Amino acid sequence: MVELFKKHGFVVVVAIILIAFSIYFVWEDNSGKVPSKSVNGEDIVFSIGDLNVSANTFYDQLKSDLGNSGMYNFLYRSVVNQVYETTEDMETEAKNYADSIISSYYSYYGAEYETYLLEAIHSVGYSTVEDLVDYYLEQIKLEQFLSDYVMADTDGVLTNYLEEAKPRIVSHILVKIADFENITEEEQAKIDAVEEALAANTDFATIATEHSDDTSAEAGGLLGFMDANTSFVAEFLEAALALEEGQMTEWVKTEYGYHIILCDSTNLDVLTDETNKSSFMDGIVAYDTYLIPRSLWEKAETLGVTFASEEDKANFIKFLGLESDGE
Amino acid sequence: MKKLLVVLLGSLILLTGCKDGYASISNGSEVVMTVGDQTLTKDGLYTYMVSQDVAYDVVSLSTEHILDIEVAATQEMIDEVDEQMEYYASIFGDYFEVYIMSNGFSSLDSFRDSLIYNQQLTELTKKYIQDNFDEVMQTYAPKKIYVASFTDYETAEAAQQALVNGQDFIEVANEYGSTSSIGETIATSESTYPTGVLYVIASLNDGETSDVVANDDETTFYVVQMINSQASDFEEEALTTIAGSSTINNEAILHYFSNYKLNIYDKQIYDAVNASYPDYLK
Repeated sequence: MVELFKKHGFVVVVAIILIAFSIYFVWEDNSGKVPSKSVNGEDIVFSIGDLNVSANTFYDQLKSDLGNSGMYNFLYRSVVNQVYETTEDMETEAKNYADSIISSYYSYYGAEYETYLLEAIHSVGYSTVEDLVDYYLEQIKLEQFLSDYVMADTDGVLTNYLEEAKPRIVSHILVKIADFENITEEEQAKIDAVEEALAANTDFATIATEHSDDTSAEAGGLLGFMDANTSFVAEFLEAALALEEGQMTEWVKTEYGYHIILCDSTNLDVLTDETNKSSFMDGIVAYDTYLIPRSLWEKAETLGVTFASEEDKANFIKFLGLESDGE
Repeated sequence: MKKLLVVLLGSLILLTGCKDGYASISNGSEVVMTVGDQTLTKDGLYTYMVSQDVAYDVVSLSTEHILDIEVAATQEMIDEVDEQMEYYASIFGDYFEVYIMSNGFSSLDSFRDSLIYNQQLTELTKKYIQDNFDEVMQTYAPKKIYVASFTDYETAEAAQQALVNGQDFIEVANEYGSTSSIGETIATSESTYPTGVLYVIASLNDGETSDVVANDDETTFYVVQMINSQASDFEEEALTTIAGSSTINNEAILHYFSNYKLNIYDKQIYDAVNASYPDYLK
């Protein structure tokens, strides 16, 4: 060894230095990396004390908590993608939504935006930022699916909703009253002015714009879509739901003051037009909380649905809140 | 020598290619569910589930393992939980299971298991406190006290005077209309009393009655009487009170995680745990 060093000293020194640098480089490159582990041929996800939790065990554990949610995610995506082909309009709309969300996240979170955006994307069952377009595409298709299902009214959900929840478009004129026991001259003058204008058959929207104390005055008193589940104060809600299309109330007293309420429309075409469609669908989904899983399940059954086990199927149907087969 | 050098350098080169670990399930291509021509495999389902709040599941499973070793579920715990389940069932009736499942539990059994788990967590915290008794008692300084509160200074002062004159605390609290619960209570440094009251609790000797102490906006007036400032005289009560603190719960859990060492062998899951529970990896 000494002879070798004497003969090739310089080369040995250089070799030692190179090896030292290599070792350091490898250590630096690998530090911070997550090692893998397997026991008895199974990949280990984590260990705590003497317990090794394999990916298979972890899968079983996760499945008991999240399996149904995962299968539901698969259900809605597979149904809507098989029922509707992707059109150019859908793609454009989805891309616009995705770009808008990315911009919003960027302006709120700055350079870190992708971390938060990915969290949100993961929570809805997708993996990457690029999947955002797919997510919105499927949301667009799901909206269309629900709309088509509701309008077909196969299970009577539309009829029942119209009858029980009484959806409508309403407007109102509000005269704020600070103290009902001591109505001021100004407040009374406003009430009188509204009554005078109504008696003169002045257009409701014009009266509202001129006299209403509510922010809806800017829109001619238009409050828009409402139904029996809308969170208006009880007196207002009751009075508004009792109206037929075109009818107006007398003065309705609420904690805010006195209202005149107009039912602009109960017509289904108006309730489901471009302006009101989204609110209408929100309303019917709130009215029938099992509408979405039920409609998806019915369609899936027509497409053909199978499970790895009867137990999985029974648990999934219970998760959807639907009756088990045969019950 | 040359061969040795070649082997060494070759190994180093191989090591530079090391990547982060990712754990895979077996039989990932097995079908879980089909709808029409679409198929969900075990791999697909696993990918979805791991992208959810998997950090919680890792920590939860690890905690269960620690609990099973340190404070295994006793029959007493199980009986208490079964009583709770009966009580809830009597409140919710047929709606009980639906209500449970709508709150994220997969079944009544998993809800029952979570109640047992919570019992074990409380016992683990108590064990930690017992193992670090002196230090914890010094930090949390439990004291057994009476405290009465009133909405005006004059009433509080009259009650305080009656106490100084030797009248029984509970009688005085009732007579003068105390707005707080009447009875012995264990106060700690984490109790949610106004600062002035906490200061008074820290300084009173056994048997002493405080002056009237107001809260910050002088809307409530307190009188405190020290029953016992020695935690060792009411150890079990002190333990139970302190064990209810989320701070000590967290401290206890982190202590045991540090002892048992949580190691993660999947990069995606490691990142998730490191983002939500970094202290559990230390």
